[in-house]
Amino acid sequence: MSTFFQQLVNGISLGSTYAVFAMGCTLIFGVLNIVNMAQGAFFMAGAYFGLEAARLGLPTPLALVVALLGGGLLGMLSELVIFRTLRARGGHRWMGLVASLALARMMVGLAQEIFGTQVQRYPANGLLQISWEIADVRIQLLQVVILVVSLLLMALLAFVLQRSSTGRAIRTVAFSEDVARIVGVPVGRTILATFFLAGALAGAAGMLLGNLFNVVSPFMGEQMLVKGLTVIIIGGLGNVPGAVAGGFMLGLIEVFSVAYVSSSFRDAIGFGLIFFILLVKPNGLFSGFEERRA
Amino acid sequence: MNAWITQFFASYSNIIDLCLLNSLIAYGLFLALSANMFSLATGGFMALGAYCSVYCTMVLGLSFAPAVFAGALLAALAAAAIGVPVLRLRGDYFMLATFAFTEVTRVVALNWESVTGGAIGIFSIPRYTETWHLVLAVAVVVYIAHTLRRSYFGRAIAAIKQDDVVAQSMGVNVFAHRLALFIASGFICGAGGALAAHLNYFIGPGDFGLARSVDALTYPILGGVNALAGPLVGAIFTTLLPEVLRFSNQLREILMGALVVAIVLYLPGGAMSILKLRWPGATARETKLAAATEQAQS
Amino acid sequence: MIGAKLEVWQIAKRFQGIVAVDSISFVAGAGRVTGLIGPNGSGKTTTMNMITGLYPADAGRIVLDGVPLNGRPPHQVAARGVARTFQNIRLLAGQSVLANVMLGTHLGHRQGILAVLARLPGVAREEREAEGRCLSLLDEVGIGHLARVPAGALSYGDRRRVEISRALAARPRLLLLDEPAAGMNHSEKEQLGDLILQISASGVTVLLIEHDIDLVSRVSDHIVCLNFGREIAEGTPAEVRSSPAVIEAYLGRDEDA
Repeated sequence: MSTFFQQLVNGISLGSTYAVFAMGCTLIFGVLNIVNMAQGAFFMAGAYFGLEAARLGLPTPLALVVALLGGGLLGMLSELVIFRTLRARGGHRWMGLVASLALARMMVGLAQEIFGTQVQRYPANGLLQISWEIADVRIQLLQVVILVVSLLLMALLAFVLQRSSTGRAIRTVAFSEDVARIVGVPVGRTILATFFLAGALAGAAGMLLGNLFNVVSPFMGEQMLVKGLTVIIIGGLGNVPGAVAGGFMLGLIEVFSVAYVSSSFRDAIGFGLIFFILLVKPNGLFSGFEERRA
Repeated sequence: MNAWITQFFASYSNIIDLCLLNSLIAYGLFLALSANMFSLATGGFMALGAYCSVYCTMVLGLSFAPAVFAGALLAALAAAAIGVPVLRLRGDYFMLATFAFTEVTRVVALNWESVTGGAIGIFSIPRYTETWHLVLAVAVVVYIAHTLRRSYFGRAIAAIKQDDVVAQSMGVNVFAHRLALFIASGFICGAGGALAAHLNYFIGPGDFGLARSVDALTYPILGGVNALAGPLVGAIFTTLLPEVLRFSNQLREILMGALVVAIVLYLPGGAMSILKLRWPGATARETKLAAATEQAQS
Repeated sequence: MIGAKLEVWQIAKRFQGIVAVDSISFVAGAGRVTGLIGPNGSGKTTTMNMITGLYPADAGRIVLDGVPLNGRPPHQVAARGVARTFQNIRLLAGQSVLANVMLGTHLGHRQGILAVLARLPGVAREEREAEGRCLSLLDEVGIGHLARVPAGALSYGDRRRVEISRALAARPRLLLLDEPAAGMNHSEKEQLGDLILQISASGVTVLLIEHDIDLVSRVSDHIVCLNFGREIAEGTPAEVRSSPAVIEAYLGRDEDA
């Protein structure tokens, strides 16, 4: 029984980082109907931004802000350089996929050039090493902090989307770009803001996961992109609450399948689930959460 | 002269083989892209073709030709199995499902140790693939693609790509055409995997992941999907360039990435679009119309 | 060739709770021109999309020469001899006019894929015949000289003619025209009217959706008027034009505009 609770704790903290990352991916899909394949690279960059900030002696919360802003700026850069240009030229949607993958490739190369290919670790933070044992279940303060930060980010995104004028603009553009234009929403700026939010979420997720496993490497983004795509399929493309639920679900599935099935088939179970969902509920498991887009 | 040619092939045979192999894969993707299927299944198809053919030659002791055929057939069957349910879904779901297929295949390859050698992979695979095999394979695929393009099948496929509502209304069975193309794409990529395995002495699950699928898509898209030579140009260009740029690995990645972005942004029709002559006055209206059609569809 | 008789019985369609077609019934007689008129949003195009199988009908029956079309996908409906044009012209802009019209011959090709790959002589013959027929169709509608021009480079009226030629290339028994006169000037409309009468004279059943009531009255044998997803009048052009319900529907629309 204690294994069960231990895995529950691990799964929830892992899943919360997946959820944060996937919210960004699904947000862009909701607004533009595209997948930004560079989100994984922003995630990796966020981990390095946080790492460098921590090494400069910034306290962890400030380092997280650096990771957020860094990821957000990269997200805006991808929109300005690639996606905006492609939209203006009426390029095919594949072109965005190919170009964003190429951007990711460049960033991975750049990260190797700057930081080397070796795995790097966050400076030891005595406070976060604290852990409690409750009836054989070990809970690290780090896990709690990661969960809390993730929940705060989710709440923040929900607040931005539901309450702020930018959020209303984003939801209008997601509903229909033409409608947005007619009612006077600045479409270009709104899309840029969406890319900022998505990049910032990816950057923050990078720092969180980098801390959780204490591993930062140039290649961490590719794996995360795979997870992010899995989560947004589970949650339904463009469905933000679905991405949160899907993120927790994937984290739990992975952790429990390692504990009870076999470590090696961990990923296979996640992907088996994708197939199942695509065939049975192609709008995602949680398609009741939001009104379906026309 | 003869000696020079021999010399040339001796020193560059590896890179020539690689160009041909990538061209073959590029045409496999070209078929899928020609009916608007953005497939990330290539890595999975190649893995099936590679592992199956190696099992045939090394364990069952079959000769090379039937082994390649078996590998290609297995990949084609997998394409049919994914295609039937998934081709009915919207475009983006198709991409994601093919991506999931590649990842499942990779994970299975990683874990089915008795057949695939697990993470270590399979070593000392006999080198059966010869340059002329690859030339023949590319030639056959180009012939088929060329002949189909000029027939009513080609017209139907072009219509599916541009406006599948029109295609259906004119009596084209869109689902059947797309399924057939996807199966053909699987067959070609499976054959490519089998040929690659018997070229490189070694295969491992890392060879067939998402990166493989993405590279394969890059060839025809960079070369251009509207011209028959597009995939060939894209594959050769993408294969040769890293060899020419003898920088550090990282710098090469950065330059390749930048180059791809530049081509996508400035030559959205692919590299072959430079060569394509256009009717004066058609271009502007055509782009507008294409954009309008796209909007109407989405 | 003898055209097909289309019978539509109480078909209905909703989109997310909004009624587009409530209940529509009419008969398009074999070899005749039937006009389908009505204000914007009255359900004309939705009706056409249900007949061609693009939208499944929620209720009712669609029967072509005694064969039910309900539940068949568009390509099977097309295979039964139904061809159409689109309200918002849908041509393959980058391809030549001839290539666009040749798409219409798709169902007429009998050679299999192996014959095509083996380049058997029958394939080339079939292709030549199809091309010849398409070129003469283009001549008939008056744009034979534009066969090699990309369709996207044509004027609006010419693109409409390409669409009609493409539909005719399928040798339809029933031809559905969705607002073919939209955006045409007076003389182009005259020519279009002549063309429709000529098509009808060759035996093809025509279902014409059109706003221009003069054009519809001129070419139709029978007119069905829709409003709010129901038919409000039916009869000969003269009967429909004098129907109070029709006058009200059209005047009502004018008041809104």
